Amino acid sequence: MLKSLLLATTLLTLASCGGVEKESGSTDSYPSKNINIIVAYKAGGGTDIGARVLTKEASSKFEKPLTIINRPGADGQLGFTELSNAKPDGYTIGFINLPNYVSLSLTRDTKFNKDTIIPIINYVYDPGLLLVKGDSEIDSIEEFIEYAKENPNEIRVSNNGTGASNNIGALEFAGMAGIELNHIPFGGSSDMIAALRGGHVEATLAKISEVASLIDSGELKALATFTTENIEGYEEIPTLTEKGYEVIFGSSRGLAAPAGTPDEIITYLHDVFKEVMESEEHMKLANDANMPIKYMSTEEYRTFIDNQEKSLKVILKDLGMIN
Amino acid sequence: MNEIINGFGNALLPINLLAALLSVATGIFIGSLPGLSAAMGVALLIPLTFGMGTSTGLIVLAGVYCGAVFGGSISAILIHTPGTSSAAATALDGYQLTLKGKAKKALNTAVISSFGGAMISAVALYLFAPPLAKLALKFGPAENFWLSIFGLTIIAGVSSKSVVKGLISGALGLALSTIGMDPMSGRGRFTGGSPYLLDGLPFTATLIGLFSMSQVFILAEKKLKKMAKSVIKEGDDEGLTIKEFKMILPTILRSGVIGSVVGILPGAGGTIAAFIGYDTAKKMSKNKSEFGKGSIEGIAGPEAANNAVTGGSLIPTLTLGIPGNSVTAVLMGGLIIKGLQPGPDLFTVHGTTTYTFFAGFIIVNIFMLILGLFGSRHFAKIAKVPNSILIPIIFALSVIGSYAIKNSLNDVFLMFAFGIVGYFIKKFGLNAAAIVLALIIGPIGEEGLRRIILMYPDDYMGQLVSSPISIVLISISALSLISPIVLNIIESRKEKR
Repeated sequence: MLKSLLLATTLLTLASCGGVEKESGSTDSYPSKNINIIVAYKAGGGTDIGARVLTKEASSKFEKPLTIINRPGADGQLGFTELSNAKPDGYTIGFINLPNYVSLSLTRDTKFNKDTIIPIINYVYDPGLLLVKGDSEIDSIEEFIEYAKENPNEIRVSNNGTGASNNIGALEFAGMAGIELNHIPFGGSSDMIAALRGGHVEATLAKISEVASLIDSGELKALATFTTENIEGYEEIPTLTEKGYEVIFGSSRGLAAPAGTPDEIITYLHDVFKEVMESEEHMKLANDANMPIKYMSTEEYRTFIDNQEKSLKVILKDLGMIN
Repeated sequence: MNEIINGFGNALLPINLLAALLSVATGIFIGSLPGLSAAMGVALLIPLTFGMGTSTGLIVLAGVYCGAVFGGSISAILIHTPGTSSAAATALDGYQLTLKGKAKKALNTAVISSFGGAMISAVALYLFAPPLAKLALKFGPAENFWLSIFGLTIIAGVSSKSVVKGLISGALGLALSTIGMDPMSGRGRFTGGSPYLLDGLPFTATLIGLFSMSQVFILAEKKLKKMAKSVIKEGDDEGLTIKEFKMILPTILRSGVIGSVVGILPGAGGTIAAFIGYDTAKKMSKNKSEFGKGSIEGIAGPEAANNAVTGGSLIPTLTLGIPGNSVTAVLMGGLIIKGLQPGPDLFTVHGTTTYTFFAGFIIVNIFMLILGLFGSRHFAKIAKVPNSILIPIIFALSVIGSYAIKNSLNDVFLMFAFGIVGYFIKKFGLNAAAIVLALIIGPIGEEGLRRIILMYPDDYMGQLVSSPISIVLISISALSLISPIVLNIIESRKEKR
C-alpha cells in the first residue's frame, strides 16, 4: 500500500516536472497540449474530409485533442499564410495542397513559399484525367487531338478557375499536343464537372477521386491519365506518357509545419501519422471516401515539392502567367 | 416500396428519434444565433457522427439543417436580426408583427409554414428525385444568367415603401458583389491588394453587420434619446387562428413548390427561394397593402420556401453528387465519409439507409413543428427583454458570430463597417434586404453572362435564348415586372364599377 502510494507520488512529481519543462520549450514532453491543424479550405471540401478522416484515426495516438481549424479563402492563400506565420513549436501544423501551394506562391505576391514550411508527410495523391461525356463521339485521346487540330478552339474544356490546378494541367497538355482548346473557368471542381455532365462543355480535366463513380457508371469517358503508370483499378485508361505526351499532373495533400519547427518534432509527427496512415481501419475509411492514399517520407515529400516548383516555374512562364 | 416502409421503421427506433429531437433542437438554437449558420452547424457535427450508425448520423445532419433554417426566422422576427441569410425576407414582416405585440402569432406562422414547406419538399424527394435532378444539370451559364435577372425583378416586390429606393439598394448590392476575384481572369477587383477580399465580401459577416449590428446602433440611439419607452405594444398572446391558417395555406403550398424547385438549382439556395416566396405571396395576395406592415402571408411566403429548399437541395446532392449550397456540400462530405457515394446506388444498393434518411427528414420536421409551437410562447418573451439587456446581447452575438465563421478578426472589422452602413441605410429608408438579394445573385448573373460569351464568342446572343428553360425564365421575369402594373389597372377598373 505504502509502496504504491510512494510510486504514485514519484510519478506525480515526475509528471509535474515534465509540466515545468514544457514551459521552457523543451521537446521532450511533446506533445503536451492541443495540436491545431490548419485546413486552408472550407469545412466539407475534399481537403477537409481527408483531414478529418486522418485526425479521427490519429486522435487515439495523442493524449490531447487534434483540432482542425478551417481558414478558407483566396484559394487557400489565407490558410497557407497563417500556417507559414505560425509559431514553430509543433502545436500548429497544417495541410498544404499541391500544386496550389506552389503555384500561388509563384503567381501571387504571397507571404509564403516552399521555404516557409517544413514538409512532414504526404498523405494523398490524386492523379488527373482527361474526360469527355460517355456519349461523346470522341473515343480516344488520338481522336481528341485530331478533332482539336481540325477544329481549333472548338472543344470547350471546363476548369475550376483560371490559373487553378486543372486549368494549368489542361494548358500544359494543349501546349504539348500542339492544339488549341477553349478553356472555360467555373467556380470549383463540382461546378466544373457538372458543366460537362450537363453538356455545356465538351471536355474537362478532373482528379480520379472526383470522377471515379461517374467513370464506373459510364456517364463520363476517360481518355487518358496524366500519369506515368496506369491508375490502379483503371488499367484500361492509357497514360499520356505512353501516348508520347509527357504531362504529369495531379494534386497532392500532406502535412507541413512552419519553418523553424524542431527536427525531433517533425520526426515524431511523421512517425505517428505514418503508422496511422498504414493502419487497416484508416485504409478502409480512406477507401470508402475515395481518397487515393500515397505515403511520402519527409525527404521524399521535400524533393517532390522542389520538383513541382521547378516544373511549375517553366510551365507558368511558358503560359505567360509569370515573368 | 418495402424499403420506404423499412425506412420509416428504422427511423422510428428510439436512438434515431432521440437523435432527431436533439439535433433539431440544436439546429434551431444554432440557426437563431446570428452568424452561426446551418452549414457551420452541420460541419461541426460531422466528426460527432463518425461514431454513430450511418442512418443515425445522417438524421442528425438533417435535423441540424432543417432546425437551423427555421431557427433563423426566430431572431429575424423578434429582434430584426436574421439568424441565417435565408431568413432575411422573413424579417420584413415578422419584425413588424413583433412591434404590434403579435410575436407569438408571427412565430407560429413561421414554424407552421416551415413545416409545410419541408413536407412539400419531402414529397418531391420521395417521388421525383431522379427526374428533378436532371433539371440541375440543365442549368448552364445561360440559364443561370436568366435566373439572376428573374431574381432582380423581385427587388421591386420587396421594396414596399419606395420602389426607387429599392432599386438604389439593389444597385448598391450589385456594385458590392463585384468586389473580389474576377470570375473569368482570376485577378482581384476592388480588393485593395489584400488577399482578404479575394473571395468577395464575406457574406455572413456582411449580413450580420447590415442587419444585427445596425440594429444595435438603432436601438442604442433610441435608448440614448430616451425613446426607449418600449416601442413594442403590449401584445395579445394569440397564436395563429384556424381562419388565418386557411388564409396562408395557399401561400404555404405555393412557396413549398417554389422552394423545392429553387433548392434543386445549383447555386441558388434558401435566400433566393425565400425572396421569390415573399414576392409571389405579395403578388397573389388579396391584402397587398398589408405587406411590409406585418402580414402573416409575408412570413408564410419566405418561411415555407426556405424550408422547402432543404428537401429540394438534397435531390441533386443525393442523385448526382452536386450539392446546391454550402450546407449540402458539407452534408455530402458526411455521406462520402460514411462510404455512401451519391448516385443511383443510393436508391438501390444503399436503399434502406437512404429511405431511413428520408423518413428521418420527415420526423425531424415533425419535431421542429412541435418544438416551434411549444416554444413560441417562450421565444416571444425575448421581444419583451428590455433594450438595455438586448443591446449588449446582440452586440456580443454579432461579434462572436462574425468571428466564428472563418476564425477571422478581419470579418469582425468588416461586420462593424457594415453595421455603420446598415445604420445609414435604415436612416435613409433604403432596403437592406434588397442589398442582400443583389449581393447573392450578382455573381450568378455576371458569371453566367461572361461564361456564355467566352463559350460562344460568335453567337452568345443566340445561345442566351436557345434553351426552353431560358425562355421560361425570361417569360416569368417579364411577367414579374408587368403583372403588378396590369393588376393595378384591373383593380382600379373594378373600383370604378
